[in-house]
Amino acid sequence: MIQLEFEKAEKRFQGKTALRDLTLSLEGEKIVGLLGRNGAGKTTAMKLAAGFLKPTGGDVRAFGGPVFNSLLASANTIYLSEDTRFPYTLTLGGIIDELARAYPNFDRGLATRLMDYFTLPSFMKHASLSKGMRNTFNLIAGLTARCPLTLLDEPLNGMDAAVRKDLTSVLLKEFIEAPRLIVVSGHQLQGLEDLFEEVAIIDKGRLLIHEEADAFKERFKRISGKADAVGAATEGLRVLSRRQSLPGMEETVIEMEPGTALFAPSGAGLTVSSLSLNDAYIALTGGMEGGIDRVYADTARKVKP
Amino acid sequence: MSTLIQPARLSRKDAAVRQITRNLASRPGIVGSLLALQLAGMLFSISSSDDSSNAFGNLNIHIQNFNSDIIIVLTLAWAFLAPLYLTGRDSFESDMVFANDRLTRHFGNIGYLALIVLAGSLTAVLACLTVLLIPLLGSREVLLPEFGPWGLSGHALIMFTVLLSYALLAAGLGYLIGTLLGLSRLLVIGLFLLGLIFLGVLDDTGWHLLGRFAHFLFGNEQAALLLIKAAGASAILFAIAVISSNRQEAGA
Repeated sequence: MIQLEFEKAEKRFQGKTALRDLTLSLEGEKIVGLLGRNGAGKTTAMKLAAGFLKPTGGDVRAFGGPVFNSLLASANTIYLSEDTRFPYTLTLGGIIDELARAYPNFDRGLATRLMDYFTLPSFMKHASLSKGMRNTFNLIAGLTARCPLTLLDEPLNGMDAAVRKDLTSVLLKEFIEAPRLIVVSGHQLQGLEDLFEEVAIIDKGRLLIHEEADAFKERFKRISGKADAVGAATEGLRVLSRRQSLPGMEETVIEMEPGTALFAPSGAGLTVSSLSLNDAYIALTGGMEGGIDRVYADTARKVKP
Repeated sequence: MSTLIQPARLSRKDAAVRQITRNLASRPGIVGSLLALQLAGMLFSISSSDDSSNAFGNLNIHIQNFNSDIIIVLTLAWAFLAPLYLTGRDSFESDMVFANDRLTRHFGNIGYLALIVLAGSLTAVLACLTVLLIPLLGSREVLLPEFGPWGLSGHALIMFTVLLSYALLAAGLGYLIGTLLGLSRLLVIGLFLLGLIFLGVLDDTGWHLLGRFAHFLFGNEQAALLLIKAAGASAILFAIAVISSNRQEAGA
């Protein structure tokens, strides 16, 4: 069974800490979402897992040993992001040939058919593709390489809705066809979030949460209604964000303790709804209470920053 | 039907051979630039030959001097520059996308360089000979220069051995400098300055290290000895490059 372990992993770049004290264990065949805001440390964590970067402290292990500079880990791991640089003289067909040579489980037939489906001509150069097409190709390459550890960094960036939908299906079908540990990082993962079995959330270089995706989602509720009713209902609860939706109306996101249920008082006109995974992690890692509305309100009231 | 993926094992030898093949497929510019430079060298040699004629009664001697040194110089420059491209940050990062570790990447690159330097030296010698033999295409009788006891083929063999020796050294030096540049440009400048100071201090004390090393390397009577020493020296340069960059990070 594939296991990827971060043991107190730390990474500093020229004195700036990108990742600190990350202890995270991912094991088994599943799709894991690695979520976080820009600059949270997701890409650093992915590059450490791929063996591209050497941890400044701690350890990152897979396939029975440290991944940095390990041929075994490299032969069984593929990491693709929009910054991935393939040899620029190679055409897409040439890259597919090289990937097939490098990775023993690579499904060249499927890769070719998917390229045809997504209208990626094999004679084109990787560098000449648009951002969306480049990411589409990278995702196809990453999935059809069928590595036991597949790391996809921001795979859906720049894609239109139709392509996102199709590629989400490809990801699911590929996982069913060849189960493996797929780690998908990003902050624009709408559509993919239903595929996640687990989520790990990184914020400011630290691991905030690692748990099953459904259990994580269930902890967050959005309560909306009249401001005083919402205030009364959420008293004593952990409020993550509060914003005025309309004059006199409020919308609040709360985080509940695991295993607890929320009972909204009847007749108070409150609406309680669940959050999508995306909204839940945004609420969890959000900035100041009140969000962007608060910034405008404070500016209007001339409150000193 | 689902198929659970099992981790694959890859030997260092296979990974290095794949790196060589990948270099051949994805870096055609390296071989292309060699051919272009040697062709340019040939054209320059032919066009810059100087003629002189002497007439003695019925005898008319036409001396045409072809200097093919430019082909050799361009080939050596290429042998130094090609590894700089091969060891650049872009090349390193694109190599790391494929199944590789730092060591197998270096082995593959060094194997590839050895192959193309060998081929480049051979084509350079052939280019020089072609330039030399061009006058034979005319209908007039040609008196070729003295080529030594083994004739033209012996001359060509010695030329090839000497050129290969220098090209291996140039490639080793280029590979080391390129690798160090990939790690840090400041490091290269610092090492260069330190090296100059060190050599200067040694020169002042009467211990001419560079001169002694050059004499050891190049002061040979036999071409084969030069090749052995040059291959050894370039192996040391490659080894320093491999050791110094075994912790290089991709995408840092």
